[in-house]
Amino acid sequence: MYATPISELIDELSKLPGIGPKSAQRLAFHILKTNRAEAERLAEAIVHLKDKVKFCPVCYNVTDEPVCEYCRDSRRDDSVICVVEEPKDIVAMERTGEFQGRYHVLGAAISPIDGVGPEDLRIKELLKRLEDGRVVEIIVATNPNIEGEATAMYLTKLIRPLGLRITRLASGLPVGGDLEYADEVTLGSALRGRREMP
Amino acid sequence: MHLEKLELTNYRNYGGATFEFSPDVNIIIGGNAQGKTNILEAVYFLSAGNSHRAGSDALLVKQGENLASIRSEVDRDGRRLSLEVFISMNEKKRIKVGGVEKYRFSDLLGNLHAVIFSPEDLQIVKGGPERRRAFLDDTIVQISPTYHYWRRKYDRVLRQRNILLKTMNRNVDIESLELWDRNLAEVGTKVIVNRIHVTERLSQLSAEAHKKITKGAETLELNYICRVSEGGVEGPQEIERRFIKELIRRRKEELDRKITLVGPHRDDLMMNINGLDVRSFGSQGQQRTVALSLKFGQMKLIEQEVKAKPLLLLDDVMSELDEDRQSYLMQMVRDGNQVFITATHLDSFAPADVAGHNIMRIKGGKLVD
Ligand SMILES: Nc1ncnc2c1ncn2[C@@H]1O[C@H](COP(=O)(O)OP(=O)(O)OP(=O)(O)O)[C@@H](O)[C@H]1O
Ligand SMILES: [Mg+2]
Ligand SMILES: [Zn+2]
Repeated sequence: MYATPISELIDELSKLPGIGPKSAQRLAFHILKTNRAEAERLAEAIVHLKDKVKFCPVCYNVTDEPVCEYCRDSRRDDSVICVVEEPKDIVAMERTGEFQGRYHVLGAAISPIDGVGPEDLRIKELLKRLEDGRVVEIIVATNPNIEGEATAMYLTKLIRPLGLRITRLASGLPVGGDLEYADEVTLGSALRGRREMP
Repeated sequence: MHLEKLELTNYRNYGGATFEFSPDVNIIIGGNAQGKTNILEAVYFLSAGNSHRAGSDALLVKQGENLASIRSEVDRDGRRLSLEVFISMNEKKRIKVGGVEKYRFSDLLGNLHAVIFSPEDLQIVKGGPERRRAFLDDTIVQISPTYHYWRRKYDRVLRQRNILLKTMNRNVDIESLELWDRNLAEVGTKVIVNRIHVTERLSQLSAEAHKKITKGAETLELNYICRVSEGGVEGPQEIERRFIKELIRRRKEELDRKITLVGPHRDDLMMNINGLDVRSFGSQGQQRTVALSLKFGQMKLIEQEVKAKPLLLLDDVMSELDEDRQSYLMQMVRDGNQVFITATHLDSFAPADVAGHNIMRIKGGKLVD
């Protein structure tokens, strides 16, 4: 087939989510055509990402500081935690400008297809944050798809005995969609109209 | 509502072909394996979001190619609307409506309505229960804008739950299973409620057609067979409650067999003629007539619901039906619907049925003049 360096790159690229063998091949040949400086910038950016970006030890957002900006900001409300699946969901929530509390990133949603069970989410870490009694409300902002719903149900069952207020983003979000694709207006109104979990 | 123009690129055996249609009757003539059914399939795809025969979209892409497209111009009450579908071998299929890319595939549905009559319809009666469930689902998708969403969601929950049943440790993961029980019951109930409702309507409309075709001799009745709504139920809440109860009752069996045994993926549609099950007692001819009646029921239902006449796609039906049914069919379809009929030879039609119609000849994936 191809020379070893090419097929190695194709193999690595096709491990990425959403990249099939065909796309990987296209990307590999695109990179082959670019000049050396550009290829180096790409390689460096990837290595920098791994070296510099860490998970925030409080909320598990990504950050290049010891603690992330939302956990550091003393003006934010300590009594509310918004629980999201991925760091990119924080970006979506922040775009709305409607939320002034803290975040917690689970890292994924429950999905047997992807081999993700409740024990693979950062739930113990969340429960730990609830111990000191400062938090009075949990907003479960997992995606409005079945995996997000299952995760919300699981969390609710677990947190309910603690006596906190537990809310879920209001519907009105695009059905079956992901938070990151929801526009600010929709997501903002979903946040304002959030409902108590049954 | 009618289809004005269809452009196929790398679709099945078409490299590139453009068709312009008459708003009345279009007759597509060609030898076997030349691409007649492929045209009807593409038109049906625009209305239902899937092929009426291929299980996988990948089969629709021309061998050796990567991207197939079906592009069309539709006339809706004098307004033109373009509908475009792009089917890729390695990416999700994409759609454009009115030239605008839509991110929800279901946005395609509801813009064009079509009913297909083909020799395979007999399988709705003779085939396995999945054929009858698909018939109901294909009907509902065309009249209920949200059904496609719930139906897909149900498949997804079912897959999640089946994988969990296969991989779980039955001593510790029961709590996880219960999460999916609730999801399955909630989404499954939406599917069941829709199917019960559409079965009631279809039963009445198909029975009317059946009565006419059999000149009053036979009474057709349809029933949706579903464990959790057996014996009649009060409403969705009760179905959901019984769904959960049934899941609990059969949990041990599900854990042993590692598969979901409760839900609309195991339901069926029962068809009786004069009180007898057609599948067990019907003659070949009766079964054919029931298949035809079901399709007429579907056509009438769509017409009533969307208040427009659906396109009728008649694939090879002339060779399958006896004269009585042929003449009934021709009479039924001459009712203002846009019609597409395929046949291998023009002489399978009575001369009067051909006069003045748009006749197209197909050979090897090309239009010939
Ligand atoms: N993905 C594909 N790529 C290329 N050719 C295909 C593909 N799928 C089907 N075909 C070809 O399309 C042809 C069948 O077309 P179609 O089913 O429309 O035939 P038809 O004209 O309806 O024939 P019949 O009268 O036998 O029903 C066959 O030659 C088949 O090989
Ligand atoms: Mg054919
Ligand atoms: Zn943080």
